[in-house]
Amino acid sequence: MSATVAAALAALPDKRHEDWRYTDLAPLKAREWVEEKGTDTFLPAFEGSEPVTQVVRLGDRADGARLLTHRIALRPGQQAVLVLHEIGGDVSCLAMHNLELELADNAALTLYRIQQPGAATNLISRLDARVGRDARFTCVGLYAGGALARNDLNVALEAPGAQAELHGVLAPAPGEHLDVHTRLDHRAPHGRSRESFRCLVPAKARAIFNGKVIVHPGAQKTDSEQHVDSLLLSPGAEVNAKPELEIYADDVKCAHGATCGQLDEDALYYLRTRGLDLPAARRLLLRTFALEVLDRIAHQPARELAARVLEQRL
Amino acid sequence: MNMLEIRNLHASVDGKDILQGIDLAVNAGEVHAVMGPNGSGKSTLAHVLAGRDGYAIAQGQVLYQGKDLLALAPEARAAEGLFLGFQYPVEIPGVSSMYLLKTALNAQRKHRGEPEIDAMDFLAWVRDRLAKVKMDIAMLHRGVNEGFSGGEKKRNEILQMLVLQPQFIVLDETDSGLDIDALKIVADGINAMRAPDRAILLVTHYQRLLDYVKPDRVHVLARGRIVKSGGPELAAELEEKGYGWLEAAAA
Repeated sequence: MSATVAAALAALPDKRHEDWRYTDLAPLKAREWVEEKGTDTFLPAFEGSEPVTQVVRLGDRADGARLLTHRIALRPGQQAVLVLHEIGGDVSCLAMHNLELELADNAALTLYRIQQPGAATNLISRLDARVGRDARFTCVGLYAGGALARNDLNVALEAPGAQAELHGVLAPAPGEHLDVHTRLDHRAPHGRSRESFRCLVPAKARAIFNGKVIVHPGAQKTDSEQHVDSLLLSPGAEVNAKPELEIYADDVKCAHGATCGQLDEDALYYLRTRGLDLPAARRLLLRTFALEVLDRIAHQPARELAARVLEQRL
Repeated sequence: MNMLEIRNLHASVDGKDILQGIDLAVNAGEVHAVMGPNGSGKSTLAHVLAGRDGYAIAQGQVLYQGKDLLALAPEARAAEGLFLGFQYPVEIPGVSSMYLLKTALNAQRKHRGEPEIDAMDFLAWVRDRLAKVKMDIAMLHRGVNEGFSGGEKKRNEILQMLVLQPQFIVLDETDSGLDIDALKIVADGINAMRAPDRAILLVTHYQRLLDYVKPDRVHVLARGRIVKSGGPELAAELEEKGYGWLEAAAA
């Protein structure tokens, strides 16, 4: 049993903590893991404007556990596009992945994230981004399940004019548990944030989306919007969606909303009367629902990769 | 030969009887109009034919080209050549009309054992039909019926009909809510589909459409039954007298 993974795992709260009430780590903490070599690296320096693709292996051996840390720091004014493809194997394993991002003044980082852990992989992933003056951070992700997958995305808008966009599709397979928690801290005035998440939840799967936006004292003129829309595809599907807004400034514009429903029966019928069979009609509506978020991926190879991974979930 | 034959059809929704013994036969080459007041069962008849869920068929049967229509899924009915033009076409944001047309056409071709249509042939085919309904191709790149006006939605139904080339066409109040120019476009589309190997069932609330599409037979539906059938002159009589006298007769 490794010191590092064990220590990192032990440091995480239990279910009594509000932010972890739906995701119980006790079974993972109780297991014996075989420590694997992890990483602690700076990702490529991003010279030039070409998108950089980084594949991250989450695990390859049964009972293996690895601690992965990636850091990215953008200089003032630097622009970069990173495609992060996180892949698991088909053995029962654990990955803890930390992503530490720092955007200096006026920098812009666009992160396209395709997370494909596999049905037996447990993943605890945490992203911390610090966004400087007038800097822009964008993250569009496809979160395609995992035995148990927990994603924390913490973004701090630390200086005036900082901007963040977090968008994502949660697509667990039947039997999987997928938890995404976002936290956006507006700590300075004139910040702007946008969040849109969509959940497609099949039978016996569980999706959790918790989006917290905090507008701190002094963060005047903050402009923030957050939406989460969920489709429950079967009896026995479960989603826990909670947008949360805490505002400690008095001159801000903030909106949030959540919807939850099923596939539109009228639309399914209409498509069938035109000749599409029921599975094809369902796939078309689900694909459309998800692509309205994933089409925000402006880099074509990454968008196509996301569409392919999504297709396996429909 | 009968293309469609409805025999003593009874249908109910949530325990409420809507169709109470419909008998109707439509031959290939014919256009029939089914008229009737609100609540007479016109739309129910159209949706039972197209295969919507939620109707209980207590009695009766529907033969379509000799087959048991009610045993087929909606998509199988479509592939066998049945088309329903909706009274209230459904909006499907994010799915472009062009994509729907191509997917629908290829799904039907696959069902019939035909290869997928060539992309260029498809585009030419659609362009030709777009002109007939006076629609711009830009509309096909928008979501299906998304933000369309009532008239645009109805024209889009007619376009789908012209592209898919069905054999048996049911139009559920496709003429309702149209101004006269749009009505003429819809009527032209319907007349273009008249052929010896096709049949058309016009479900309508108003007589006006029948000024432009001459029916072979007119049926009056009241309280779930056909209470009177006749030639085109029956439509004119209804226009003049209203439905009251027939409803009274049916009671």
